[in-house]
This record gives sequence, structure tokens and C-alpha cells, in this order.
Amino acid sequence: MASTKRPLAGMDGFTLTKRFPLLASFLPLIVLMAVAYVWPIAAIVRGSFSDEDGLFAGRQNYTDVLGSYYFWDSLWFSLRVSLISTFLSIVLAAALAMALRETFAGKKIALFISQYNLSIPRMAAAMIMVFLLSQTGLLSAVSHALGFTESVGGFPWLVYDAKGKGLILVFVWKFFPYICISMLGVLQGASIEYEQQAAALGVGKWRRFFFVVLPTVAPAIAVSSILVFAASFGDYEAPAILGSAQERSLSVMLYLKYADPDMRDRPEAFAIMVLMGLVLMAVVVAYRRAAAGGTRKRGL
Amino acid sequence: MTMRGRNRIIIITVAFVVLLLPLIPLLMWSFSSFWRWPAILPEFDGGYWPRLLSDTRILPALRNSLTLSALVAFLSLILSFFAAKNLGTRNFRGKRLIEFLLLVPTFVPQIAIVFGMQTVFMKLLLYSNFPGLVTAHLVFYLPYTTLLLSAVFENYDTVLEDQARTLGIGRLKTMLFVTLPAVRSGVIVAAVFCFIGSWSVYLLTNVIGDPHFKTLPVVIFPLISVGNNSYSMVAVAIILYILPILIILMAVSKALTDPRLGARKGAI
Repeated sequence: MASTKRPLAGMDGFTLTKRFPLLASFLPLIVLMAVAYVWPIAAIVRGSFSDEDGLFAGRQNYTDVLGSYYFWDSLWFSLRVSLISTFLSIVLAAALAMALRETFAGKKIALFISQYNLSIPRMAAAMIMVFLLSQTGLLSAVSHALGFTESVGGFPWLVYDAKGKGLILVFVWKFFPYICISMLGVLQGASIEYEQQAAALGVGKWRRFFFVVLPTVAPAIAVSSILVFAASFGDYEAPAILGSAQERSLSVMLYLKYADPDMRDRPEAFAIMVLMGLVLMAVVVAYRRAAAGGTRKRGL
Repeated sequence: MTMRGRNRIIIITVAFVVLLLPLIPLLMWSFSSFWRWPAILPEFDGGYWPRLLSDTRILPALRNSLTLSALVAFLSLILSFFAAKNLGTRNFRGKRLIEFLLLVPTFVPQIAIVFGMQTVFMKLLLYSNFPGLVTAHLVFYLPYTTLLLSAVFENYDTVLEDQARTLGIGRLKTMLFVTLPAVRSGVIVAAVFCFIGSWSVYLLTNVIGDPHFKTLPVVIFPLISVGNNSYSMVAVAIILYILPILIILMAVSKALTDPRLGARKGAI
């Protein structure tokens, strides 16, 4: 066989097997991303510095966007909804993870149920919540049957409301299992030993939770919750289905600006896209920091 | 900290009620065309299910979604395999930067890039046709799959390959019979998450997409937002949208719990 006669790779003392060439392995990615991602970004950035006729407009679009109330309103709405969703998800995840960490009968099924909805598309999750939570939904009917509310209007606006309650419920429902799974990975491992030591030293239950358990799972929480924040902040489908007409998420506002048949708002829409992209790039940096913190690596 | 049995049961019960409760009205609506407040139970008349076979949108869209997402997952695996292996097993200059860049399409919302893609895809004749749709999905799920797979390769020891090669086994055979079996679970999981990612995409498919190739979310979204369509039809469509994913997840649950797996990281 020809292959045995060939001199073995690895004479450099570095590697035995000849590896797949580095550049060639990344070629499909590089070509695809350059053409279909970087070029579109360039088009958007260019659009954000142009007026509606495509002529250079300097910073005008950014000044307009940053000086408008609609931008700050939407930004605040999106930030508030995604921060509250993330926080509530962490709390629920912590409770469930602590309950699921030990071995018990039926744990396998319990684990499946506790993460089945992770993979449900957000559009489906949003609609499911309409069936459940709208003023004519199941919960409203149950609340009527139990005598808590007397009319459709008596049941609180949980979907289509201006505060984004329905949105928060969708995001929490969809994302808290994800944080829970990330925490379980740690809680079933390293954390146990430290806790036993602390318990042996007479540290109480709650103190153990706050001073031993939480610090050990903190990196896992940080990484997964940053992901949850980004996913809920940038989501379009859930706010498009559940949002109200008064308060719009950044994504919905952006969509409406861009899709307006009168195309005068497009340059501003491009500027908003750039700003949104920059914010999320900062989130990626935070994510990398958090992920590196867990494994004691440093990175971008 | 051990949680007392009673507390544990309470927390798990509450969590499961919260997780499963939303499925009840969904199922009920799918079997009923008439459910008016304040009735707690609808009038079960089979709902939209009997009419599903004569529906001209939902079933073709289901087939289209399956085709598209399977194709995207397959292409992503092939195109990312060697990149992921290099990323997971080797150290080289610029590796950190690549890992950073690969995260960007996952984090930056599709709404912030999709209209730029629309302009560029029009110029490339990739607008409003099937190749364009596949390309658009790959833009987001090829980097994602690369990251998932590279995490798999981080736990993979190239020593096995070295041994095989030293014994004179060819490169192709080494890859097929040594490398692939060792990372099998990881590859399956990466493919499944890529599939699920592509399966959930609405906006991108709607903006770039092929008008003759509508996927399930593209068909469902207008049904929801218009609001005058029957809830039963929406419920049936949503069940058909969710069910394939649950079936796939159950089918690969063994691979999902493989201890050698790092791929769970970052999959959402």
C-alpha cells in the first residue's frame, strides 16, 4: 500500500497525523460569511449614512434616531422585558435545579419535561400563551368559574398589554429550563463536595445556598442568562404576536419603520439596525468573558 | 444542601404545571371549532383535524419545513466538520477571533441583518428562490453548527487517529472508522440543534424566501396575526409545528445524554 511507504507525518515532532489544512477547512465559512453576512452589514452601514435617495447624509440618521422618543421608548421596553425575563428565569431555574439535583424515582421523565419546551419555536410558544392567557383564554374561564372574575374585562390584560407581561411570561416559560439545565450540570458535580464540607463545619442551610452553592454555579448562570437576555432582546416573533400597539419592542418598531410603504423611514431603520448590532456585539463580548471565567481562560 | 422531600415535590409539581399547562388549551382548541368564554371546556367536534387532509397550505408547508431544515442541517454538518475539528483540537493564531466571530450571527438578531441580506441576495440572484433560502439559513446555522461541533472535538483525543495512521490506515478510512464513531453522539446532537434552529426561523424565510416554498412558520404567522381564522386551525398547525421536534428529541435522547458531549453548550 502506498500509504505505508509514505514518510510519516509528525517528523516535526508536533503531530503524527497530517491534519486537514487550516485555511481550507474554514473556506466554506469564510466565503459564505463574507458574501452573505459581511456584505449585507456593509450595505446596512452604508444605508445608515445615506438619505432616502441614497446620497451621503453624514450622521443625520443617527442624530434623528437618537433624538427621537420612539427609539428610546422601544429600547427601554425591550431592555425592561428582557431583563425582567432573564431575572425571573434565573430565580425559577435555581429553585427547579435545586429540586432536581438529587437522584429520585422518575428523574429521567422529570428531566425530559423540564426541558421539552426549550425547542419549541418562539412563534408557537407565543401563540400557545394567547390560548392560555388572553382575556377569553382558558385561565380567564377558570378564574370566572371559580368566581374570581365576573366578566371578560375583569381578567387582567396579560397578552397584548403595554407593559409586556405576556411577553415576559413567554420568555420565562421558554428560557428558564435552559438556565436550569446549565445549573444542574454544576450542581450535580463539584458543588456537592463544598457543601458537605460547609455542612460539616456547621454552616446553615440558607447560608450554604448563598455562600457556597451560588458562587459555584454563578459562572453557569452568567453564561446561560446572557444568552437568554440576547435571545429575548432581539426576538421579533413573540413581540409581533403578543405586543401591544402602544409600546413596541425595538425589533417590531424596526420592522415597521423598514416595511413602511412610504420608504422615507428606511435610512433611520438602517441606523437602528447598526445600533442594535453594536449592542448585541457588546453582549457577545460579555458572553465570551463569562464563558472564559468559568474555564479560567481569557478571550475576546 | 439537600432539599427536604416535601419541598422538592412541591417545587417540581409547580414547575411541571407551569411547563405543561399551556399545552392543555392548545390540544383542546385543536379538537374543537367552538369554544366560547366562559366555558371551561370547548365543544369537542374534532376541530380542524378532519379538514387537515384537504388543507392546501399546512401539510405542504410541513413537508417543506422538513426538507429545508434537514438539508440545512446536512449541509452545515458537512461544511463545518473540518473547521470544527481544527477549532476543537488545534491551537492556532486567530482561533479566539474566529470563535468570537462565529458567535455573532447567533447573538445579533436576524431582524438587524435580514434587510441588508435582502438587498445583497437580490444582486446575487439568490432572492426569492430555493438556493437563496438555503444559503440564508446556512448564514446563521453554519457558524452555529461549527461552534457546537468544535465543543464536541474539544473532548476528542486525536491520539486514536494517530495510532490508526501509524498502523498504515488511510486517511479516508481513519476518518470513517475512527474519527466519526468517536464523535457520533456529538455530530447527531449538533445536527439536531441545527435542524431545530432552522425549523424555528420565520423572519428570514419570509423576507428572503421562495414564494413557492412556504415553510410552516411562514404559513402560521399570518394565521395568527390576522386573527379571524379559526383558532382550531391555528392550534392544529402549531401542534404539527411542535410535534416533529419533540419526536426527534426523544429519538436522540440517548445521544443527548452522552457524557462525552460538550455540544449542549450554547444550544438554545
